[in-house]
Amino acid sequence: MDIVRIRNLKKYFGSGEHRVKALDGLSLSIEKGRFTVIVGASGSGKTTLLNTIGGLYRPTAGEILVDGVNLAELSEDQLTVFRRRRVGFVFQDYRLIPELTVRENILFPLALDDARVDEVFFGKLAGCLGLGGKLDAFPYRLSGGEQQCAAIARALITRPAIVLADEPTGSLDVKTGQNVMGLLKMTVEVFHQTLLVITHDLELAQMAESVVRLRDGKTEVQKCDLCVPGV
Amino acid sequence: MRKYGGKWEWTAILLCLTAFCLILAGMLWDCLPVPVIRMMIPGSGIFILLLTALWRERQVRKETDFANRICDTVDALMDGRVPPAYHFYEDTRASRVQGKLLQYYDCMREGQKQSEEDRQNIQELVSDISHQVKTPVANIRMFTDILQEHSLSHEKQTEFLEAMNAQIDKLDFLMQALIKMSRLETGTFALHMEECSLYDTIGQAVNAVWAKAEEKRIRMEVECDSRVTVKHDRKWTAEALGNILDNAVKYTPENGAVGVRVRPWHFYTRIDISDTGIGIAAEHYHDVFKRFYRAREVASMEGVGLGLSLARSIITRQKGYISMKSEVGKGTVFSVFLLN
Repeated sequence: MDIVRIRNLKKYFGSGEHRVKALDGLSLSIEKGRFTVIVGASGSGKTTLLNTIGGLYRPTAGEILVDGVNLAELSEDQLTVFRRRRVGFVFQDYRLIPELTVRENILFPLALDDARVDEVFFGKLAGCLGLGGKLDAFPYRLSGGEQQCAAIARALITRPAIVLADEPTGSLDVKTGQNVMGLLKMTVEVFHQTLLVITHDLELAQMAESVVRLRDGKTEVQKCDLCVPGV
Repeated sequence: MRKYGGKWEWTAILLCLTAFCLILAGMLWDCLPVPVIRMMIPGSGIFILLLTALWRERQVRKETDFANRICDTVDALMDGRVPPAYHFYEDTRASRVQGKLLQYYDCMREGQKQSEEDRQNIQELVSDISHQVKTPVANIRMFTDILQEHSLSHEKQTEFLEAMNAQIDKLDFLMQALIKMSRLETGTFALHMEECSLYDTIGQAVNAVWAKAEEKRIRMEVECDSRVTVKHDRKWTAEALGNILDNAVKYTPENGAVGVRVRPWHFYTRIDISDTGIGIAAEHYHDVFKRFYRAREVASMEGVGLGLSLARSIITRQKGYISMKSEVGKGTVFSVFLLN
């Protein structure tokens, strides 16, 4: 079953002479429960695609269905609720709130939705990501890898339909990057989540079950199998 | 309980308020000279009573509406339909609960799908086993027929018996590997995860291939601090590492080198197994982990194509993973990541 189905998606920025075609007729489907990686050169439209799937950008044309919902049909308010409940974001620069502890940061999306904390799930999640002893610390006391783990826990706490990670290891050294990607992969497997990651690191891309390569805003290859570097 | 408690609580407040207004009206009836003010006291009591009743009525209607929407959702999900009154991503409580119910329904369906996939996996495994077993069994039958039906010289008989023995060895190896594979795939064994020395586990794996490497004059180097400990199943991890090492030795030409290097990381411990072998083309990276995969260029060499598949299953079951890098003609590096 596909969690994301995209047909002839176009996303243009600017107008007239200054118009930039970030996505130009892209078609793609992402299977539920799989770990998919999007690779491609800089400017190929990876981040635009991720932000469009996450409801941060509205498409210029085309159809985009996420978790069975056509995002183009949602109002701004509905899109906000969609992002809050159904999408987990992991950014390159973690984006943790410095004034909140790790625990508060992780639970922040639930607080936004006025939802109650499932302490059992929270405990499992924190344990899985090695954050058990660091929940009362402030982000500045944590290493880069640990901060990213907290960001991953924050993305998963609402049990979203899909987790979108934009270069999650981009700010980390190679070793920590491998570590964090391994934990991210393991955590989404444990909690049966769908994960979509953007990376330019082909070694990291090997961990994925399917790899999509973008070129000039279009899908070049969509391979649904154990990943192949060099794709 | 909460529901009834709430209902009685409100009824009690209402009765108290009304009683208070009536008592107040009785006490002050003679003191208040203006009749309008006199009437205002019971009037305000009745007004409060009406207002509260209306408010309560509205609450009951909202609760009923909420319950109806949830019941409709459950009914629709039981029938496999999309709930009729499901408003996607509304910022309401009903929408939130409906969303959670749909999520739960999806989880259940995923579970069913998983069971279906597991069943299919077992079917494929059985079919693979029968396919792989066919050839050695046919060979053994052929040799037996020849031995029974023809009078052969003693030398010829010995030759056929040796060939039969080789086929029996192959069958035995195949069966052992398949039993391990089926136990892994069907999850019918328990991992004994314990914090123990990785050095010992690697030693166990290296020992299994040492003689083969010696025979081909392959240099074996192990770089591992004896103090490194990782939580792992020693027996199965040694099996996985042994399979990768066995492949490395098998596909490395004489006088080559095979190395094992351990690097403890923050969350994972990385074990690199490198060789100076024939290498693997990038388009076959994913194939080598498939069950019974044999590259065309190594088809004539011994092996059944189960080693790496088995290794990956073992490492994945321990929440680790394997990645690889290779260059055709130069060699391959398999990296095993074990969770600390």
